[in-house]
Formats: sequence, structure tokens, C-alpha cells
Amino acid sequence: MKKNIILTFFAGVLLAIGIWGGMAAFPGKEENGYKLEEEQKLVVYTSHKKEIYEPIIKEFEERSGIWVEIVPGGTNELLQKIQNEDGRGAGDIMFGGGIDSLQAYGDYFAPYQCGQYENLDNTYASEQNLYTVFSKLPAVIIYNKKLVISAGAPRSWEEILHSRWKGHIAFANPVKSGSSYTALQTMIQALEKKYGKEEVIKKFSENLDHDIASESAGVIEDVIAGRKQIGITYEETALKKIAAGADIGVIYPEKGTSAVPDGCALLKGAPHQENAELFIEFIVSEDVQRLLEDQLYRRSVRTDMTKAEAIKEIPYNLAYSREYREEVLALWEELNP
Amino acid sequence: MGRTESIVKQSFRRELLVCFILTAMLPVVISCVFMIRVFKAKLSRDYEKAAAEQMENVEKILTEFQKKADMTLENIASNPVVIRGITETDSWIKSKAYKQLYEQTRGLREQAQFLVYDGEGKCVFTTSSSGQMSNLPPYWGILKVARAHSGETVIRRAGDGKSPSLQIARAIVVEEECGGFVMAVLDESHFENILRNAYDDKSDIVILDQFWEEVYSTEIAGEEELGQKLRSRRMAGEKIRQAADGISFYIMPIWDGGLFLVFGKEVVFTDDITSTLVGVSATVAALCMLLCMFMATLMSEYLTAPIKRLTKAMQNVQGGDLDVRVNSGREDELGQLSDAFDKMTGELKNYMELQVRQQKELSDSNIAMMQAQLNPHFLYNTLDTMKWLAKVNHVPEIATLSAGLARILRKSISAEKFITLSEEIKLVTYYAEIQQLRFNHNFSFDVEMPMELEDCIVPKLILQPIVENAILHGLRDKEEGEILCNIYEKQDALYIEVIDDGCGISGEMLELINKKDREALKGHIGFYNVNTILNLYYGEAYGVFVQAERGKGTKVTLTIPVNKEGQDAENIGGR
Repeated sequence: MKKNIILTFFAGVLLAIGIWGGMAAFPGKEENGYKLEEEQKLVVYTSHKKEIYEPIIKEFEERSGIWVEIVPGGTNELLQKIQNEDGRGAGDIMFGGGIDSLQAYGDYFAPYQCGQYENLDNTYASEQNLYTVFSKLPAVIIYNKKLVISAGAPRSWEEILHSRWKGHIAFANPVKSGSSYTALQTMIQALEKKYGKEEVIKKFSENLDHDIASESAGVIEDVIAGRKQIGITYEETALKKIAAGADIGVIYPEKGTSAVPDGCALLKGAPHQENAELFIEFIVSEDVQRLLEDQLYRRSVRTDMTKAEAIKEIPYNLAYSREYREEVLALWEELNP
Repeated sequence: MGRTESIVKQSFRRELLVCFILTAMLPVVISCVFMIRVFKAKLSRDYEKAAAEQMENVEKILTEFQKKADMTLENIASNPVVIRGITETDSWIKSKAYKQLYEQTRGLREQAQFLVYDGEGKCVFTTSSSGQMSNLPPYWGILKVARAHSGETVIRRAGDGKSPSLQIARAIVVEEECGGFVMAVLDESHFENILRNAYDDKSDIVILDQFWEEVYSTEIAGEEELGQKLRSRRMAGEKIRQAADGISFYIMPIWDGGLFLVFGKEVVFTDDITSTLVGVSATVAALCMLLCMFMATLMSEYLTAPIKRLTKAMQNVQGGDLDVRVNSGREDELGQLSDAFDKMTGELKNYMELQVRQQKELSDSNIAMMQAQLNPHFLYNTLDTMKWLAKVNHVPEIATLSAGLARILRKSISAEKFITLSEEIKLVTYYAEIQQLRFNHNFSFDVEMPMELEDCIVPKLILQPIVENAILHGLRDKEEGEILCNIYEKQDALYIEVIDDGCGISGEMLELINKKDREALKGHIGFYNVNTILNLYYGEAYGVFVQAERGKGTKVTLTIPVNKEGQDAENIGGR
């Protein structure tokens, strides 16, 4: 009994020393001064490239005082994540991704009508306001200026099907690349009336001569390096390379090209919904849209801004594109094993 | 626990060991922990103090730079030559403006690059050696802020994540309109120039903007991505400083809260130092433990050796050896215990010897008596036959003789050791009758006994030897003798007197008899035996006492405690 008392006493002394020593080793200064309130935060899932989201988000932080946590990733990867989280995740907003992809995951987005709705090009607007468009991405034809003289370059989608270009076209596999599929659909929708869907695919496949780039970044590289004479890619990609000194030319098809926008969507159950709405208002604001055209080689979705070079647009049928996706890709794989 | 406890408690040595370890180890462990803690705290405090001084120094340098840059930008923004140069296309005027720019930024160009933009964000002048001019959108970033806060200097983090820089800008106001901007840009090399010699090589510095995005970081902090780590901790609401950090750092706002200075120091109390200290402590503790075990062994040996000897001696005593002595030779409590044990065994031995002697004496008497009972059944039957033959042949004396003898004999061979007084008297009477026939009736034998004493229990045949002595020795030469057996009770004792009026006993002989000296009483074994029997049964207080007077007679008194029949005879015998 007495021994127990002594033991307890010693244990007490040891404990006291331990606590005292522990406190002395890590003085807890300045810990609480840096606590952020939830109203100061925003979590953005983005599939944009760093060069796009970094200046925009930095500017948003500076102007709003909101701290933004960025979760970067691929479009499908992030949409999958949003689906898995099902409104219980930390994310507030999905910034980036083609509107057809966003529409496909519409169940996980909360409707929000942007305050500047009237000033936006609403050709591709969501009927339920599940997303807000951000920038337009026209599909264009590029050519290597050293190999093709400007006058000889194809002027329309139809010309691409001419046997003169057989084996000289750079194109990415539409099964793997979303932008490539959009380009293929643009071509089909532009030429369907004349040739019929299947014929367009067949003719085009023939012209590619089984030489297909595995990813979309390979297209412009092939054209710049001269491995291919012409290629099909997004305007943004081409303009960026030209600004960096690449000797290539851009052709906007005479009868028009599709300009499917990418978008931004408010997630269902977003923890910081108000901040997310502020963010949506910000990205379609004049300043950001101007920056897109001035510095980021994208086209604005605002209708009230004077554009550097107007292009002829043809409507892109999203529903059609979705509906025949399986069929078109199946035929494609059959023709290009 | 209980089992451990019982194991410990089984041995004195283990108990001692536990006690020693507790009393020796606990202070050692406590002081070691204490020492390490104090050492750690002291070192940390010193280190923190040194770090705080350096940090203050860095902060001072940065603040001084801010003031200088602020002043320089203000001077440039209000310099008419520079303002004129912005809109002017004339190269003469432009070069004058350049001169002014270089003049104003003298001494600062190592520490920042200075640029002048026009109102549309077009870069007009730069102090950059490469001369590269890139335009900035006036509706965006720092230029927008500078325009909005004309008359103030504003800052903004710029550049991408890998090579960040800091922009410090001020609007140039021309006729109350924004006519351009003047800006200082600080990249990594500029910060290095500013902070050169401001801190030692064990420090790390990170400068964060107000959203805790990295503006500048020294090499190690950059590798550890300290800035990003801090920002993500703050965003996640975690503790800014965590125990696992390789760098212990301090954060303070600078430049009026526009920037944050993170001053990192390598953790001073590394695991290495801690483990060394713990190692030393453990060694000390181990040495202590060894000493404890050694001392506990010695001490327990010293304490338990006499106890062991005592235990062994006690086992010997249990085995019957009473000659065992411990002889510890010590003077402490254990010595006293051993001495007491020695004394006790001595006493026990004496007592045992006494017991043995008494037993032996009793046995001797019994043997003597049994020898006298030689073949008693044959004698008894013969006597019986003689009695009947005498009766048939009408010789009554022989019948009386043989009947008396037979009765005496029967009693003497019976197993019972005690008989009633009346029976004893009967036996003596038979004996007297036989002797009367033998000696021709030359003496009389009378008994006086109160009725109430008839039931008294006495050892058998104790009167016969006395009466025999009276007949054979007292009345040896008398023609007419008288023997009286007088019995009475006094103070719970039974007195049996055998009185004869014979020759008495010489004084010398009387002395010998009353001394009860066995050797001297050879031939008078009767007295001695009776006395011994009484002594053994009833103790020294009882026995045979002889009074005699020469020529007048002898009185032999037997004293016996009164014991009525019905009381347990064995109790008397077992005394």
C-alpha cells in the first residue's frame, strides 16, 4: 500500500516534468492569428492549364480577398471525382471542361444564372443554367508555311477530303482526344448534307492514311516539324505556337467552323457557394474576357466586346454529337484499326 | 501483477532489489528527464533569441528597402523629364528621360529592375540590361490597382509558380489623369542582393504575399516547398507549425501587412542530439542498475545469511538435534535473535534430558516389579490347587496361606495400576495374615480407616512393602508386636501411617531413608520404590516419610492426594 503511494507520487512528478518540458520546447506563439474563416475560402477544381488558371485565380484572390485552393486535374478525372463525392466533397466549382462534358455530369451541378447572362453568347447556354460558358474554342486548320503556300492551303472542311492531302494531314485519335472528336463532329455536321455521315468519316480516314497522332498535342508538333503539311486543332493552340515563333498559318474554314465553348459549373452542395458565384461572375467579367483574347489566345464569350477578328461560326449540334458518339467512334475504330 | 508481486515477495533478496531499484533509479530517471527537458528548453530559447535577432535584422533591411523604393518610385513618378519622355517620340528627349531614370535608381538597380509604362500598359523605359520590354494589360493586375490607388505605392506578386517576382508600382499622374506607371520588379537575384549578409547560412527565408503565395524563397526552403506547405496548412485550418517540420520557423507581417516574412531555422534540437542525451541517460541508468543489483545482492547476503543459518538450525531441531548452536557473533537484532535461539535450544535440551531420566527411572521400577511377577499364573494356579487340597485334607492354615497368597498374586499380576484404598487394605491384610502364620501370630495387625476414604484411589501394592519392612525389620526381635495402619485425610491429602512398636531405625539409617538415596537404600528397596512411585505419579510433594525412635518403634507415613473412585485414574497416572 505504502509502496503504491510512493510509486504514484513519482509517476506524478515524472508526468509534471514531461508536461512542463513539452511546453517549454514548443512555445505556442502566433498560432491563432492566422486562422482563416470559411467565408474567405473557395475550392476550385480546374482542368485548365496552369497558364490559364494561374493569372485568373491570382487576380480573383487579389480583388476579392478570397483564398482559393486549386485542385488541378484532367476534365474526366475531375468530373469522375465530382461524381464520386456526390455533393459531399470539398469542391465548390468546376472550372474548365467542354460544355458537352459538363452537360453529361449535370446531375452534380447546381443551377446558377450568371448576372451578366444577357451579355454572353448563349448559343450553347445550358437550359437549366447548370453551367456558364467561359471561352470559345474554334477548331481551325493549320498548315506549315514552308511546305504549303498560303493560296494552296485548304479553305474549307470539304477541301480536306481531297485526295491531294492524302497522308499529309495531322489529326489526333478522336477516341482518345475530346478536342479531336469535336473537330471530327464539326466536319461531319458541316458536310453531312452533301456526303452523308458515314461517307465523311470514310473519306477522311482514307486521307489520313492510317497515320494518326495518339494525342492532340502531337498534331501541331507534326505540322511545325514538317512531318505533316496540314493539321486540325484548336485556334488557341495554333495562336500560342505562332506567338512563340512557329512558322505556321491558321485557316478559318470559309463556310464556318464550330466554336464550342468550355464552361464553369457550380457544384451541388458547395461549401462556399457565395464565393463560387462571385468567381463565376468574375470569369465572365470584361477584364477576364479581355485578358483571354489579349494574352491567352482564346475567344471571349461576351457579345459586347469588339473582337480582333470575327470568324464565321456554324452551329454545333451538341445533342447530335452526343447521340452518335458511340456510332461514329465505332466506325472510326473499324476504319482505323 | 499479482504474480509478479508474489514472486518478489518470496525472497528477501528480490524485495531488497526492488526497493533499491526504486530508490536509486527513480531519482536518476527523473533527473535525466528533467535535465534533457531543461537543456532542450534552454537551447531552444537561446536559439529563438538568436533567430529573433536575425529576423529583426532581415525585417529592418526589407523595410529600409521598401522606404527607399517607395521614395524612388515617387521621385520618378513626379519627375517631369520622365513624364515627358513617356509620350515623347523624340529620341533626344527619351534619352534625357532615361538619364533621369538611371539617376534616380542609382544604388538600387542591383536590388530591383525599374520600368516605366504608359497609360495603356506599354513599356516605355526599362533599366533591364537585356532591354526586353513586355507590355502589361492596364485593366489587369498591378496596373489596375496602381491606377485605382494613384498617389500610393502598391505591390503584387507576379510571375509563374516557378520563378515568382514582386512588383512594386505607382501611377504617374499627369493633369489629374493617369499618364503612366512606374514599377520596380524584384526577382530572386534582386532579393538575394538585398538580403546578402543579413542572415547566416543556417537560416532560411521565405517571403509570402498576403495570400501566402511565395514571392521569394531561399534554396532549402524552396526545395522543401515551405511556402506552399504553409499556405495549404493555413487553408486547411491546420497548425501552421508542426512538430515534424525539419525547419522551425517564425512568421511576421512586413510592409504594412502586404507581405509576410518567414524566417526558418534548422531545428536545433535534432533527433541526433536527443538520442545522444537519451543514450547518456540510459548509460547512467544502466550503471545505476548494476550498482543497485550489486548492493542489493551484498545487502541481502548480509541480512539473509544469519536467517538462513537460523532456518537450518531450526530444521535440525525439528529433526531432533538439540546440540545445534548458531553462534552468529553479531550484535544487531539478528544476533540477538540467534542468541535467543541458542539459549532456547539449551533449555529445551535440559528439559528433554530430565524427561528421559524420569522415564528411565519409572521403567526401572516397573522392571523390578515385573521381575517379581515371574510366571505369576503358574504360581497362582498352584496356590489355588494348594488351597483346595488343604481344604480337602482339613489343613485350614495352608488353605488360608494359599488363598491369601493367591489374592495378592492376582492383584499384583493384574494390569491395573490403581486400586481403591479398601482393596489395598484387603491385600495388606492378606499379607499380614500370611506373615502371622509364618511368624506364629507374634504380632497384631490393625487398620483404622474412616469409611469415606474407602473409595480413594491409590497405586496398588504400595502398603505391602512398608508393612513388610515393619514385620521383617521393625518387629524382627519382638515376641509380641503391634502394627497399626492408620488412615486419615488432612488438607485434601490422604495420610496412611504404618506404625509399629518395634526396634525403630538407627538415626544414621533414618537419615539415609529420608534422603531417598537409592544407592544407600540397597536392601531397603521397598521404601525407595514406594517413594519413587508416589513421586512420579504425584510429584515431589508426596511420598514416604519415616519417623523412628530407637527401641520404641517406627512410623512410616505415605502421603497421596485424595482421589475418589470414579475420577479418571489415567488423569492421575498421566500427571
